[in-house]
Amino acid sequence: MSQLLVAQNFWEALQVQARVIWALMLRETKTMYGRSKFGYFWVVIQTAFGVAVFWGIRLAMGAHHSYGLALPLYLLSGITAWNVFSECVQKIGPSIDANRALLYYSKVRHFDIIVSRALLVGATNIVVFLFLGMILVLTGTEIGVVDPWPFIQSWFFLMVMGTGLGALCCGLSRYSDSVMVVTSMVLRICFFGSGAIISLNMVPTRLSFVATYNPIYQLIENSRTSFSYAYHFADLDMGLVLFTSLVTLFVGLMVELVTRRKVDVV
Amino acid sequence: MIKAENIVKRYKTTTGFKTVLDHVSFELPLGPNVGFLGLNGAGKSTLLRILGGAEVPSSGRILRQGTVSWPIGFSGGFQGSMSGYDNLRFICRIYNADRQNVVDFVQDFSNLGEYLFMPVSSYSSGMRAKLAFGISMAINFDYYLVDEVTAVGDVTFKRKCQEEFERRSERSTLVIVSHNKNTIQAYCEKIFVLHSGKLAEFDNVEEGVDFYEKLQPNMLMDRSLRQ
Repeated sequence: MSQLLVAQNFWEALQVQARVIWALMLRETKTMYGRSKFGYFWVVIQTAFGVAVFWGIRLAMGAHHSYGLALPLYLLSGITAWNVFSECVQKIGPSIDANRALLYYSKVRHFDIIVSRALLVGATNIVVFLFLGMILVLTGTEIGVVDPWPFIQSWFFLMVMGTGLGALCCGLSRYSDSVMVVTSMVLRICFFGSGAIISLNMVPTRLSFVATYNPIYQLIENSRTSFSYAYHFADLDMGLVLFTSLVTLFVGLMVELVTRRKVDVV
Repeated sequence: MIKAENIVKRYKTTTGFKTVLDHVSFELPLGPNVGFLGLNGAGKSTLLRILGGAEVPSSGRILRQGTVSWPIGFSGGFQGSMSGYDNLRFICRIYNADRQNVVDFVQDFSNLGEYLFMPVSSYSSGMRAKLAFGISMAINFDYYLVDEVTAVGDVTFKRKCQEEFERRSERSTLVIVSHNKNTIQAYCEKIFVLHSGKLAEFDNVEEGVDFYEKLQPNMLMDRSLRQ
């Protein structure tokens, strides 16, 4: 029989939380991708398909490079970075509802479920990015890492913003079932203004406000500067990114927290 | 010690809000087994979920010192596509329990054999219950939450469950909710009777049972009048 110990201080409590989040991540991996033999494979294929489709369209339009970055790498970095943000929103939104039964285990709390999903989304997209990047290298695309910091920084803030918005959706969907449907529709539209597939220097200047006021766009463009000296992005407004990330995360977690009493486990 | 302070729980229904627990306070010290008696729909299971932390009260708070189990035999947390072993491994991870000890205990207790390594979705309801009960009993908690002692499986398994409950009650505290007075009389040394959202506390089980029995016709009459 197994004897349990209770955390006696902050450090031990932190260790317990890390252990629970890790356990949830492993469980979610099996639940999301491990149901079929090709579950993990499909995650890669989905992103690869997105890259291939937009690559084809851009090639048909006569583009081979995007300002010093090979086109497939440009698309891969954009689409995976967007996926980090949008999947955080879409997977965290219904996370508590889908895992209500886990709350019966006293060690599992709402926050653990949210964090584990965010980390899983980040980790999955990193693996997909590295795997497809490797395939690009093997097929002759030049990929160099000139400075990993912008990439790490951008993905981190995209995860934070996605987590905040996901938590917000999670709280709001306790009042209306349509929240996640509307969110999904809005995200589909936002994809085209996110810089994942088109940079703003490819569209009319009257649309340049998107770069000025859109932190997602700024972060996606910023992440690409990690892979080429020639790829410049000077419009990163760190103040805006920090402000948006912190406000989104704070508001999201607060809304999730105060609406918790509405959840009735039956 | 588990301490409930001024707990209120309201549910929204089609006819308005229904108060299931109305400013309820009590303490459950480590030691004596405690029973919560109440008719069906009185709010016993809700109270148990709030004690375990699965549900948040509308107001008030629960303070817990020591380890508290999930409701014994609860299988709702199992992921059907994962094997019994994988589900067990998940629970061991979150509670930091020794996996091999738990596996040995569950195999011995539940007799699932090779089924332990098959997806839970392929289990019969009896096998599911056996696995759930086995895992619940494989980990040592200070408090065990029990929502109606319903023995599952064959006679041998029922006897095992009975023995395990008795062994547990020597070292840990059983918190049992039931509408059956016999269950409470068999296991508990202290009793709470839940009626109309309020809680009546009795240190003597027989007094509590008497109170509960006198309450039943009144409550049934109240309900029929409301209908």
